[in-house]
Amino acid sequence: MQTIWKRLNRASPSKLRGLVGVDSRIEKINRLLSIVPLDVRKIGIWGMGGIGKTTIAGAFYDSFSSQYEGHHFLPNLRKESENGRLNDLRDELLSKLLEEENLRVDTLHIPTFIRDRLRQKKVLLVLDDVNDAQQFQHLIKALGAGSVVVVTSRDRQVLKNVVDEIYEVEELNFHEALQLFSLKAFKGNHPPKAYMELSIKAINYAKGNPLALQVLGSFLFDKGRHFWESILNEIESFPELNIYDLLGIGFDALRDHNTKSIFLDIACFFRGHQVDFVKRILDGCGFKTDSGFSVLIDRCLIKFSDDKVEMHDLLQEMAHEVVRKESAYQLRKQSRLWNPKDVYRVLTNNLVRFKYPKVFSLLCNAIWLY
Amino acid sequence: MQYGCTSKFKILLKLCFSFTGFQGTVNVEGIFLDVSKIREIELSSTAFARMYNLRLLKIYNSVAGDKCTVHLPSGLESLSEELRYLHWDGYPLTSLPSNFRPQNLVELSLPSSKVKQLWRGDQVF
Repeated sequence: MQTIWKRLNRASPSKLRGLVGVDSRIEKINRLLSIVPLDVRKIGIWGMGGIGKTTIAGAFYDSFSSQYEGHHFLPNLRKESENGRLNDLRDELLSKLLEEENLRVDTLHIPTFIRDRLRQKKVLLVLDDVNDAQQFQHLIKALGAGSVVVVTSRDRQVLKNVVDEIYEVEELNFHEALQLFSLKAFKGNHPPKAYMELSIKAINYAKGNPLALQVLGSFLFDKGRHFWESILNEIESFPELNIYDLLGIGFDALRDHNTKSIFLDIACFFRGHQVDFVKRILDGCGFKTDSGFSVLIDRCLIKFSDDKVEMHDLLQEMAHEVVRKESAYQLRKQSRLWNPKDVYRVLTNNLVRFKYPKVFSLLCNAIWLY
Repeated sequence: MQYGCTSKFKILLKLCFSFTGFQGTVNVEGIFLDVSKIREIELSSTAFARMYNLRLLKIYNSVAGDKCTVHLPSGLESLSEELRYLHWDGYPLTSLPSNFRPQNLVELSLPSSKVKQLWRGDQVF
């Protein structure tokens, strides 16, 4: 009994959850933390989309949050900032850290009485996907000694203004990539011998990007050799393969209209909405939502978290591109409109009554005579 | 000869359509509009008329929930029968279009609207 407990303790949470290569990356963050001044330590995590910034920040938070008096993880700040919610979120954060309900600070500056209380707390704070750190600058300055702030962003410049040190997330190395790919494609740590060569080919295309590896691996799962070869040939035919092309192949491989439509609807409209709500609407549209959801989850294209439908930013961008391409980049032919400016243009140009009835009748006559 | 004739006809037809502002039907199945991202907008009563496939329509304000800056000065003539989801923050009229058939609707949400009566006349569900 004792030994089992010990072994369980030794296995880190990220290993238990099947996250590949996260432990060594957390180790690197810890090394950076040890070299910055002790007061309030601020570390940035920087890297391209799909490289695993949020996953690493989340694993770091899970591992160490219990060592702090207060802790909070703020996800998707770029999206929240587009919706003008940053001030609200900062107030929620203050309420949570100070354990007081409905604390409201409407200005950028934080009142002295709150600052004094914050200064006595040692907290761990994660700000995920930040593109504007202004709202949080004053708050970070007010935190107590020994606090740690982890900020993730695609934009290095944003991080430079906020943090002491930046950790650049590196791509997965060959062994990590092979392991992650195998977890999805074979539900095991290694590919079977017969598939070794094909697997190596596949992971070379994904260039160590965890998101691409997962999407690629998931749709090759349980498929025959012939299918593998044809897909890999298709990938090879791209002149300059980028990550969007790879993810797009994962989408094309869905084949059936039902699942594709569900995926596009989620990407354009329902990301972050309650699962039950989305299911009710999509069922109402005549889709087989349950089976669609389960296929999409198996293919790593969407996930449920806290009863909400979520997907990765890069996958959403890929879906937007699919919709634009389907309509040959003509707004009026587009099946889904999500961009306010596009909607504005379509709604204000949708004329049914003719602008110039006289010109119209004249032209009609001309055609008639002709 | 025949070919030349049709292509000329097509050009004339296109010219005619572009002069008159007639642009045919719109394929759109879903529109989500966050009005806080655009300036005030005045829609014609037929803004949604040719959107026969529209199944999802949400007009909302992510910053000030109840404030809607979409105006319908001449009312609203029609909405797609395919509509499954209709959400409109601060819908400015007192009723939905009288010819609107809501038989497919699964979710209707009109917060802070001026609606007094959803439909005039009887509606069979």
